[in-house]
Amino acid sequence: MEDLNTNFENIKKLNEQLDQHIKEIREKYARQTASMQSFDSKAFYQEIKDKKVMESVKQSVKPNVKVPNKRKKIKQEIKKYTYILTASAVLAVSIGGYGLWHHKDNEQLKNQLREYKEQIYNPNMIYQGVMYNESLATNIPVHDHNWESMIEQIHSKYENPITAFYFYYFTLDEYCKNNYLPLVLNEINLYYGTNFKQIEDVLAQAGVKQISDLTTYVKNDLEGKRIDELGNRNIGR
Amino acid sequence: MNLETVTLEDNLEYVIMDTLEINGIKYLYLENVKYLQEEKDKPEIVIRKLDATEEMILGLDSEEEYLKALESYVSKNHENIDSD
Repeated sequence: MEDLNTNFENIKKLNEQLDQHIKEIREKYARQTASMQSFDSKAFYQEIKDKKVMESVKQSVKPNVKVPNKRKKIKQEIKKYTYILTASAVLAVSIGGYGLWHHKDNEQLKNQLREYKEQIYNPNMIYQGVMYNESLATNIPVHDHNWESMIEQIHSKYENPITAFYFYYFTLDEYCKNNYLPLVLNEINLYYGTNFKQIEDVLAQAGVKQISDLTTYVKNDLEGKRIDELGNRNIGR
Repeated sequence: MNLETVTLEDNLEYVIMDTLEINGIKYLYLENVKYLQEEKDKPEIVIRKLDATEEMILGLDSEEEYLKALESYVSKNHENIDSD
């Protein structure tokens, strides 16, 4: 019994070390891809050994397996986009939703994204903005959000560019709403392949006249699910 | 949208999300029905291929074959997203 307990503890430690190792490799690749080095999908795949990827490989690579190709029809509406985007995530699991943009043949988009990220993440452009707060009688930073994590979170969650715009818009502080919407639209255009030049283009595509009407559109798009996660705190900001 | 499912050797049902022909071989892109219905964040993706008669579903031969098949799927469906 003592041997079994010791073995179990050893296995547990090895698993923890493996998880830590995987986490470090993911972070390493996230840093590398953020600096826009060329993405070698094969090397990435071989190094990461993500558990989900390995499970998928284990179920797929079975040289001696044969089963009859007998099909059964089912009538079920299943969102194909979820599968498409998560298939991309399996391929490039550690780079937070930018999987499609790092496809090795997509050089033009990679270059566009690199130029855009150099612009938007330039601290001289955005992070040094301050404004005078009368009640505190001092200058305070204007941005109460983190651009990079906001972009990664929104893109990895929402497949509809209008819905993504909605969550961008209601997360931005007033300063960014007033000054940086073109950057936000550019980000959305790059990621989703849209061509929004101004906010009115987004509203027109959604078939609404004003921003507040987008809430209904988004609710319908998400079938009332995710908007509740965000809560009502962002509506009307 | 009507979908088709197949049952693999693990006795689990998988939806055929897509079929792609690559170098004369048809690859099936499958997802576990249970995970699709529960809308899990990450899929249970399985890629298999058909034999020459298309009567049998075969496992892939290597990790390289898996990677090529997955890249083709992502590449094709990335274009479809933009055109919708």
